[in-house]
Amino acid sequence: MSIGMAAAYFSYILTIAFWPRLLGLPLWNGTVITWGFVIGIGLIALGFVLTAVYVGRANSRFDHLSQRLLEEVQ
Amino acid sequence: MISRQTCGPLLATAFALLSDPARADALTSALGTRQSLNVTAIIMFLGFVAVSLGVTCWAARQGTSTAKDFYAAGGGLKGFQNGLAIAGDYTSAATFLGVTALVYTSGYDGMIYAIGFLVGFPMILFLIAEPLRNLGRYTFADVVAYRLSEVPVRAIAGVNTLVIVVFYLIAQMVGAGKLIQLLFGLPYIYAVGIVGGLMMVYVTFGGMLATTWVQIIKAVLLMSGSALMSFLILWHFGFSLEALFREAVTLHPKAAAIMAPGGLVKDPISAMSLGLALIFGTAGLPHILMRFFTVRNARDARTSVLVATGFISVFYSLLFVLGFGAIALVSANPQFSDAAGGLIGGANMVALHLADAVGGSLLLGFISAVAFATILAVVSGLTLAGASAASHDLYARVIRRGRASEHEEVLVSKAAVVAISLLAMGLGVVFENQNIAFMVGLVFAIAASANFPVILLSIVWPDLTTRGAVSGSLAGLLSSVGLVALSPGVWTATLKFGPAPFPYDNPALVSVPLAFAVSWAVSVLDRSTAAALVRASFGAQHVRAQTGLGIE
Repeated sequence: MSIGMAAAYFSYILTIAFWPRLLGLPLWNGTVITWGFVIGIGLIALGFVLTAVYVGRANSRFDHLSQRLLEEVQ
Repeated sequence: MISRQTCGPLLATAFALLSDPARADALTSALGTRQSLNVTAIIMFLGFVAVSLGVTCWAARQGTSTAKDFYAAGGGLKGFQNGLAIAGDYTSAATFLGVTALVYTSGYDGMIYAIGFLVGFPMILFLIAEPLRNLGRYTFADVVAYRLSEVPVRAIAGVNTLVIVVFYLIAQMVGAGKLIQLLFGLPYIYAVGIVGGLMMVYVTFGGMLATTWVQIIKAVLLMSGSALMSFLILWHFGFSLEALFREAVTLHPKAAAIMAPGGLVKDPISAMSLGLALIFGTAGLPHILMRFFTVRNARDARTSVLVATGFISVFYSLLFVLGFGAIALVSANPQFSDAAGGLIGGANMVALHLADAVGGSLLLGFISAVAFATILAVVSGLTLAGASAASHDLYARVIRRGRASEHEEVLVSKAAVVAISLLAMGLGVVFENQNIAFMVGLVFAIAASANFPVILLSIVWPDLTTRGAVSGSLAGLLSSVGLVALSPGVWTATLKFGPAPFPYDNPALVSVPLAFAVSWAVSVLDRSTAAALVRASFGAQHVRAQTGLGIE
């Protein structure tokens, strides 16, 4: 998951570095809102969603596993 | 420890210092050039100071005499509380005023920074949050020293922490001084003194518990302030983002260019380097890492990151609305420009002018007070992190080799708080008129190069040895400080030595890989018996890191 997040982030940074005009394209004809905004907000949301997914899975599955492990050890 | 009797005079003194309008008035008129005294702001700020000192007194009565109470608030904070406090630590006045100003002047480019700051959080969670909680007690050095040889590892981690804390404090102090000078009409030196004095009181008497609650109160104030301002802006534009952006594009001198990335990130190398520093720097900042020791277990540590990420995501998205709102509502209003056509107080004040524009002097007063509160909370967290490194790592473990009593350790860290506060105030005065813009970047670069690689490797790589960790960390520290000194921001702009030997302002692209490479190479070449022992103990560490087995 950290790889996914890092990949998304660095592809964004590289787009800024090499192809900034792509992010300046308007979302549809006649609007001033650009793709850059949608992608930017999307990245922020992605960060939160990945965090939430991880926490959810960790709380249900991993904790259960380590709990069992702890019990076996003791 | 502080008793009930001493709390009263403490509050009284603070009020006498701050609430004497006659004296403040005399000072303002004597120097004349500052903004007129903002009464609403001062009343609201005094309210914040009163509440936070009350919290400090309460925290002091809970006891700060054991190390666990002082450094980690007893280890019993809820995940939600800690998450709010992390969000508070991360949203400094510099971000609130700075990112809004960045969006105001260059539009979309402000978003690049905002995203970079944010992406660091999921990384912390996925890579280090839980092992950190399971292996450490008070500082991140506990984690690295879990299986590696303690003295050298703690010595270098302690030094790194102190370097980061001091640079960060200078940046915050100078910013605070300037801000308060503008907002409240107080002289710079008084402003620095008030911030330094209050943070000293919070941290010495209230320890981590008081610092956390100050942070939580401030986070709530800052979030609600920005939410309210964004609401008022959107209301002004009939809740249409399209209308807001259209107005901004019409008014801004760069027109439609503000809707796309522009000249802020000059070339691919700078972009990558900045990205690396932002994403991994967060995971190496001592005052953020320290927060994970205030919760009971890995589950609460996870919850704190989730809560923090949520609040920070919302906050940064709001900053964006604020920045564009400022273009639309402040830039065209002659009330906020000076004679030369620039913004009164400089671009960094734009968030405050915006508060005035959408909510009048009442909202201006509120936002000013919140900005001040923010600075106080962030410097307190930093000071506590610095004090814990000085006392827990350097004094108790390196100098006294673990023979110091807990009582002694806490006394030393309180002394360290006083020393760090005085140092920060002194340096704040010295650096008043210096260009300090590079300092925050430097802090992130050091955190990403000197701390992050070693923390990560010690958790995930069995073959890391003591020599590898120390040399990697040292390489990261020296290369990041060295390259920043040789960069255009310092060499050319601050020291005025002419063209810079190192062409990039941010060294992370060189210094982070270098730190990893040195750690790896030295560890692989290390054939000592100590290295073999350290490698053999990875299994036990790994079990504890993943499960929390044996944790107190």
